[in-house]
Amino acid sequence: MLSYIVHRILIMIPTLIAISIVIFTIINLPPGNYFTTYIAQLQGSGEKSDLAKIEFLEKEYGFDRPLWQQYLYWANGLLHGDLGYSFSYDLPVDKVVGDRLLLTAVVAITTIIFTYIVAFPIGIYSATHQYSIGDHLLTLLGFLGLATPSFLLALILLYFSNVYFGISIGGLMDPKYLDQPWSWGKILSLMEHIWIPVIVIGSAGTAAMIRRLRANLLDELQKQYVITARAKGLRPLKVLFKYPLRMALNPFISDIGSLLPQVISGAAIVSVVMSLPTTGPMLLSALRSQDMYLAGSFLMFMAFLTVVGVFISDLALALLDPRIRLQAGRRQ
Amino acid sequence: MTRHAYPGSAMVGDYLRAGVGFIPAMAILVSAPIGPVATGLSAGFAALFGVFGLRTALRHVTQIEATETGLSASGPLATTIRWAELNRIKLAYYSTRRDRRDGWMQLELRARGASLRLDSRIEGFEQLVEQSARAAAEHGVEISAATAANMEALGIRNPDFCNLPDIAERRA
Repeated sequence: MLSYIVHRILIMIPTLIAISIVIFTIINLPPGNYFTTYIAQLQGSGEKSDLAKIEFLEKEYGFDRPLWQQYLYWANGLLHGDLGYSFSYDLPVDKVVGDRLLLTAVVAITTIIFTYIVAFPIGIYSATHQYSIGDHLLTLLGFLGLATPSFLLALILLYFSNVYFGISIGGLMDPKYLDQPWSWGKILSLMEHIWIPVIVIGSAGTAAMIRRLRANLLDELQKQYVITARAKGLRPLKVLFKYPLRMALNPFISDIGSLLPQVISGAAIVSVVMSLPTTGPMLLSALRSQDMYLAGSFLMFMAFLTVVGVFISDLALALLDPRIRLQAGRRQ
Repeated sequence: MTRHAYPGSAMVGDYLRAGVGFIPAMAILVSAPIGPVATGLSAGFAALFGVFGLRTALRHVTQIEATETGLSASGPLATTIRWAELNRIKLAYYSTRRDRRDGWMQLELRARGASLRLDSRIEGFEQLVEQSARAAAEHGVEISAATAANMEALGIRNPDFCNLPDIAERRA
């Protein structure tokens, strides 16, 4: 397994380098940079800009140098844990991001756990009770979950909770805890608020996973070995859990890789709607204002999550089913 | 009795991998200033690739002797697996490619208090797997579906070895 981990990590590194080059190039594709946009905005509103400071920052961060040198400067900083400087916030990126990365990770991980906890039993029920009333109802719910955009669900929940219960469900904690150091009160407040965004963000993924698990399990349940096991008198639960469920789980595990970035990027609009202090809204504004280092750090964080997610799912698959695939008598 | 070792040519790739991972991680670690997250990641990578390099070197100097009674590894990681005490056998296949080609196998054997892992790059790997499979069948060691599938890929048909003639004869 150590060999496998080393091989996989050595594949991850060039992948991350390639992604960082693409991210840097795309961020720099629009003409000008943050400062030219900023000066234009100030001039448009008739205000004076501090040209000396802007010139200093441009030199400090190498905006006067060729693009490849700027990339190397940025990449070297990332390797050393220096995320750069946010020009729009006038602060180092790690200070701007603060708790947001942590809260984003908390929301994302809770959403994934929610997705698995809900999707798993429902998927099994739907497959083992195919075409029953329960299956039809859950299928309907699944399609509704798939078809309803998360931000719309957020708006509906915000409206109903305000109109019928008189409470605001926006945010991830009570306003008094914002920008405060972590305490038990803050953690409890987070736990009270987190379930609504988790349901909103996780609904589409849960519905998709229910459909996939149902389909995979139905395929397995119709195979010859299951019929044989039943004919030999094995208990239904044992037949289900011993092989078909294990086989149906493989796509679940391989989904981990795509789930993490999906949850985070999908949460951006929901975060705007629900005023969540996560990275999504900040990423949107950083991209709009060409705040290069802030946007670049966010995008690299998401790329890192994707690559790590795929790595974790590959490891889990290698542990769960380390078998060679044979096709037409040839080793594959 | 047969002797088996890892040929130097097969180990070059692993030495290179260990170096490619270890040297840059150490270079980042010793260059200042460096943030806490980057320090943790670099230290983790350096440790991982360091251990991998060390294990590659240990494997390189290890020799395996296969006898009627078991497998013995000589060298710094000397150990003996007696067939009579064998209680676990696992043959895993790993590939980093999506189409699962160009992978490698790993045979893991456990007997009372001893364990041995063999990579498919060792000379005579298939012969060692055959012997282990036969011993596992003779001593009633459970073989998982994945292990059986991997054995089948090596031409070792599954396994009610207790009543079957020698695998080599069957294959002939």
